[in-house]
Amino acid sequence: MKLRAAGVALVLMVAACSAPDEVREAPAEAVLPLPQNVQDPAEVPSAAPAPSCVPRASLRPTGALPRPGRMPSNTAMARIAQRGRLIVGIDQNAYLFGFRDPQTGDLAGFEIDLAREIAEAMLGDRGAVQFRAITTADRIPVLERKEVDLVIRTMTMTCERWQKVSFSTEYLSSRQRLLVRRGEGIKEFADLAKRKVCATRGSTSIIKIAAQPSKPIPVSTDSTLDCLVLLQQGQVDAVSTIDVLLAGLAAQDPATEVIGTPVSDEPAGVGVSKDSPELVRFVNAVLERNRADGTWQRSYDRWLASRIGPARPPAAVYRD
Amino acid sequence: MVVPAVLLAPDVAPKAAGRLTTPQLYRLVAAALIALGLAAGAAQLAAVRERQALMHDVTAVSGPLSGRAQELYRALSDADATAATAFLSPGVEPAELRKRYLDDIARATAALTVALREADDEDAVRLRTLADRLPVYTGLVETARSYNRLGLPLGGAYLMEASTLMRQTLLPEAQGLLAAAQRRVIDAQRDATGTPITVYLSGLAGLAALVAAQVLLARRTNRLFNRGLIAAFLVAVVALGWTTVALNAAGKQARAGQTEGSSQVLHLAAARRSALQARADEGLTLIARGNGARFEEDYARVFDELTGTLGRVSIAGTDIPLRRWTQLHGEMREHDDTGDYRAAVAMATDPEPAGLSQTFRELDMTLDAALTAANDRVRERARRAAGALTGLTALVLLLTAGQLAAVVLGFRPRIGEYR
Repeated sequence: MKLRAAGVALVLMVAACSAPDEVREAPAEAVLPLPQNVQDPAEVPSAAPAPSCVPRASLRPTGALPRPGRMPSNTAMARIAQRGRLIVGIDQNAYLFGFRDPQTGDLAGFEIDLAREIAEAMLGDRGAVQFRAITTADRIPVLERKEVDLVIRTMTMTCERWQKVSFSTEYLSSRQRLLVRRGEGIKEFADLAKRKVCATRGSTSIIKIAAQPSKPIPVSTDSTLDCLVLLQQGQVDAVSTIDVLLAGLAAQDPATEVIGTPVSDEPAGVGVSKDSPELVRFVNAVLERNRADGTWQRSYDRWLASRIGPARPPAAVYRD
Repeated sequence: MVVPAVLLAPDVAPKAAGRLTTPQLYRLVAAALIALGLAAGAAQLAAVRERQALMHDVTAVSGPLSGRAQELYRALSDADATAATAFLSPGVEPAELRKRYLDDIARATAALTVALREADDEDAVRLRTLADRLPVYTGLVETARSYNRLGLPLGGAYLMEASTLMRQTLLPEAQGLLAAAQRRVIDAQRDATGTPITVYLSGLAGLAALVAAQVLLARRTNRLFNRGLIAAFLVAVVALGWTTVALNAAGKQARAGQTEGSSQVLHLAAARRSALQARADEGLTLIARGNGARFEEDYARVFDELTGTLGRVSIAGTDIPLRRWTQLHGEMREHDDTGDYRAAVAMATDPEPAGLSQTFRELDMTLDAALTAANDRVRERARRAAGALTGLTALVLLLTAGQLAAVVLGFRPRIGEYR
């Protein structure tokens, strides 16, 4: 009996050793590429206990706008006028807000218009703007380091951020929603249980995604465009950020749509250093004028109305 | 070799060491000399054949393998850099850049196809990854191109995904192939340089045995010299001397092939790798539009590597383009950092002779010429090493046969005296 078992073992060993002449090829399987610096699942920034405040409330303008080029002395505006150009941190990749038109190489979009309006009011020249492309995560640090005068980059006004920087009054209302592929039946966050939802690293959107009761898996990238790439390639099931940015993504891919009940209320304001309240008041004066004389409406209608529907300028709220 | 009949006599087998009859002793000594002669000849033959095979491997197998790996690496990284420059060019990309990119892909595919036919297991895994992912890469580049033409920023995101795939997957695999091929060339050169110890030992043992046999015969007979053994000794000296000289000459060529050739190839390939990556980084920093800080950091790192490598192997004609590149890059970054993006793009894509594109091209072509020359030296030295061994196989066979014949002829009359 032992002998037979040994014999069987021997036969098996011989069979195992005598490999076929051809090496059996493993069936080829596609490996999807990834954009650089994708975090899956994303590290969720800790949502610090938010100090209570009215995030929309900014500083009231002092009287009428000074004449361009005649800024009151010892103000941030005077220093900018001295320099001859306004330095603004913007996004170069947000379609409809701030992006490079590949045909001309020029920056264009709703937020670029706003930066030019402010430059014109301050310096009398729409062209006297030096744009600096910055990342989402850089918005507050560049203001703190005084590398830029203003940040106009769909920056949500929050009480937490108010502790580090100041904001102008709201220039655009937005809400965090979802971008999904059409026809997959996803209608709400509730449909995304255990599925991947993409947003940019360090944004408030990541925190919101992680906080949803359906427990989607947050995935983070360097830019929302990378999220759209992942959505197109089927590597995530939704992108979630403010609806105005989602509209910019949807405009680039008609096979996607913006859906879902808003999960946040995100007023966008112009970011200004905490040390320059006079600059905040100046920007607010420009915004007041733009709301009143139809400049805001013209820019909105040109870039956004056809994509996210008609809107009126958000009303200014002041804290003083 | 025919064993002489005299050795096959039935009474050869010694009964006990001290009690051999004289003819038995002679037969035994003759047999030992023949065995030693055969061993020496075999050692010489083996050494010659081994070195010929090594040099043949360099000229016909590992050398071309390394050449193809270099070509593959270059084509892939040039495609990466060219795609970035073409993407940045305002409006429709220049036809010349498009063609350059397509040529790069065609060259990479051709190199892959040939390499797949003759790869060992380790290389085959790398090649398969490359063959799997190259179409994915080109697909991403074309997607980027379409979106860019539509005026959508999404194009930039696709191009960066393509470049990430290239840098994190394709180029490391191609680099692995290149390193393996180059290691094989250098191993062959090193093996061909080593001291042929078995040739020396067996040759000297054979000579010593011939001397000992001569002394033995001189004691047992009244003749001072045995002509056969003297002839065998002289033939053995010639065989050993000739083989030693030829093997050393071949070894010298192989060593020269390593110092002037393959180690230069390693440095030059590294320099070209850094140059191409720096050029791609330059473009990607601009394409990333504000998210490009990490590409600029990478640029600084690989540019340091480039100047470091070029400091170790001084290549004529690299100083000027290198300096100009550093200067132009600084100016270009200055434009971008102060917000003049269009001026930066114009500089990065400037096709004029003094512009960044041509400066890079000049450096790349200088490195390429130096690399071709180094590859040629590897091949030429291997050819000369093989040349030093030409005809040695026949000569060793002939001399060994002559030596054995001389031993037999030297002993036969002495054994015959006892019949």
